[in-house]
Amino acid sequence: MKNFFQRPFSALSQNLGLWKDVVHHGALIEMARQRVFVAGCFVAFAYLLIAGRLIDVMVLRTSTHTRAVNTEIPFAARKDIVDRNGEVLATQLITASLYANPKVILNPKEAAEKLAAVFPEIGKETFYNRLANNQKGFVWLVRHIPPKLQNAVHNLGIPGIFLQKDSKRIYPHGPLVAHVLGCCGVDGDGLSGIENSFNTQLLDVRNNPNEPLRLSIDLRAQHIVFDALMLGVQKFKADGGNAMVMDLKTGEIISMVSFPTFNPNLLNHNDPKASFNRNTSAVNEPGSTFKILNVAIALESGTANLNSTYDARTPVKIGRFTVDDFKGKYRILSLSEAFIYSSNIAAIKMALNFGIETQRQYFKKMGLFDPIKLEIPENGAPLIPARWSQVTTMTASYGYGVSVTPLQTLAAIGMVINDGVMMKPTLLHQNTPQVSSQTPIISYKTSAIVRSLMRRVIKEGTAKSANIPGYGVIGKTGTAYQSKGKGYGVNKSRTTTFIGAFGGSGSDDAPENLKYGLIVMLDNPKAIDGTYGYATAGWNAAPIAGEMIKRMAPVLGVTPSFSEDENLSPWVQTSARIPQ
Amino acid sequence: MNRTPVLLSAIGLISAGFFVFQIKYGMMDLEQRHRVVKRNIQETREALHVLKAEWSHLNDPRTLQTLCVKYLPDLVPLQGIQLVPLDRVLNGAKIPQNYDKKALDDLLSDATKEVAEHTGGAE
Repeated sequence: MKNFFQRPFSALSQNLGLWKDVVHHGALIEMARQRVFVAGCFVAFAYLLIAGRLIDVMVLRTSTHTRAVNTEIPFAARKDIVDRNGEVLATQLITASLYANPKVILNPKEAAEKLAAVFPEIGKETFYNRLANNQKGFVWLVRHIPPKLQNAVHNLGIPGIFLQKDSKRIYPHGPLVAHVLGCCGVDGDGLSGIENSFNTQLLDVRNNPNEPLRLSIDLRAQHIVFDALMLGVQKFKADGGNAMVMDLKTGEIISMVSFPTFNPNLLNHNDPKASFNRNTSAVNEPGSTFKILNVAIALESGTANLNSTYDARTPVKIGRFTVDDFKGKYRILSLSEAFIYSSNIAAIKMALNFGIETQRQYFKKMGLFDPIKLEIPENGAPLIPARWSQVTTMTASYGYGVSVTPLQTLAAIGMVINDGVMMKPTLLHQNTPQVSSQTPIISYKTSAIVRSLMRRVIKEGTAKSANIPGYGVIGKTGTAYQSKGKGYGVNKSRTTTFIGAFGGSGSDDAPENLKYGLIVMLDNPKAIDGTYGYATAGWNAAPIAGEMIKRMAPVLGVTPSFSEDENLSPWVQTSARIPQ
Repeated sequence: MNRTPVLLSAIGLISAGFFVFQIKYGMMDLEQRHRVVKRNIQETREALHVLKAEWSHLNDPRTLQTLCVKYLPDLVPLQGIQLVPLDRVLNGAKIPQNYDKKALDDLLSDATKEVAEHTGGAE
């Protein structure tokens, strides 16, 4: 024990002795100094490095650092879709989804009963079947549940039941823009419409997360078209209907509505047939509206002018069919009369004058032979006869024998109205109007004549009910019997169409610069009280179009223009006194 | 042996160590605040998003139309014939530069009343 305490002291005294020797040894001291100096240099260098790095990070790279902190945090799993004015059409909401780990569920029966009390629409049986399968470690129970039910599930306190943060696609306007937007599946992937076509871009939330996809649709115009068409379909007991408004100067689709429609918020509650977009998918024979193209080709090809006349006294035989005029005049008609009275006989004779090849070439240039690639996947291809015969030329002159989509019809006739310049229809908002590089398909003169003829149809012809004072409405109606098997008009099924334009300048008889093109179609409308037994386009599609134009034009900012002799506005009657 | 540099170095080292710790804890505090701010931003964004969706839903034109028909039965959609250029209201007369704005407003107000009488109250 004594040694135990003495040993460290003796060792210490020996070492102190050595230390005393070392302190008085000059060479050793010098060597130690050098070593301390070298070590000091290393430490100083290390500190310099740290200081340099600090200056680099804190002073020189300030902007990079700030940017890193302010990096936009992607909010949702999918970008918003807005209309041309920034109104939200589709957005993403944070929800929660309920899942379970059946392996840790102690009593599946009791758990199923408790869950069924919160979600009565799903039922005890369904929950039990999912929870009792304890081979699985994960099973979805309910997707996208609202906060109130999330709280209710929390309060149940069932072990093995979990809530996971999730997000759901919401369409605040329900069915209003359904056929354009399409819908998303339960996992947020686009299934149809714009949601499907732009799926990749909409999911790319890291790149400009707060920049939505801006469509050309104007929600206000969409509502007016939707409302008027819905009332029209109900009033005329039609099987369905569709309507579109297009900016003829830019090709932007301002409104696109198809009936029956569906609610994209209620994925599994919709009739599958309702998702069919009649504007872009349906192909049908357009009927008399094609006479606009027929007259334009006749004038442009030089085989007709305003003084041309056509013998419409006797019907024309095409194979086993006899083509007659609806409420025919049975006399010689001028070109204007033939157009205004919508004479099939005159149309056939006009087409035979310019011939098969001319018609085929013009139809091709007008884009009637190829599907229009609009920015949605639902694009129908036209049905064109394999061989373009004389019979085809005769029937196509009044809109039979060739089936195209309403969008194709609107684009082609829009071209005729728009001074022969063909604009590609688009559903995307155009910041800078697209410039058509094509040379006009028809001349300004032909376009002007066709416009004035279409104006006369509104003033004197079949579409008087679409004449909205001040907006220089032009148009043409068409009633096409639907083909059933090998015949037409069995059960009197028909498609009625109004196609026209409004919102331009020029005089009342010669409107020009028309901005908006419009097409309204009804599938198999019926005669009702007040239509005197008629179910033709002039009695149903035209008044619906008139209602749309009347309500839509002020909203779209179209300035009405009245000719000097018209005293249409009571405002003008106010006697003016300029206050000084 | 010169003790001053050693002493200074020691003081420097201790100061540097203290300074580094200060920076570290300051940084940790800032990071914590950053996390809180980020979370708050996210929550605010979510709330804004919900409000935007709700606003859009409440502003659905169909809803507004239904409410208008119910509560504002006299209000009808604007029609083209209600719009004319100002010069036609004034029968083509030129408006002087220094016109009396209030008097012009009164005139237009009178005109509005006339129109109301003309159209039976539906403007």
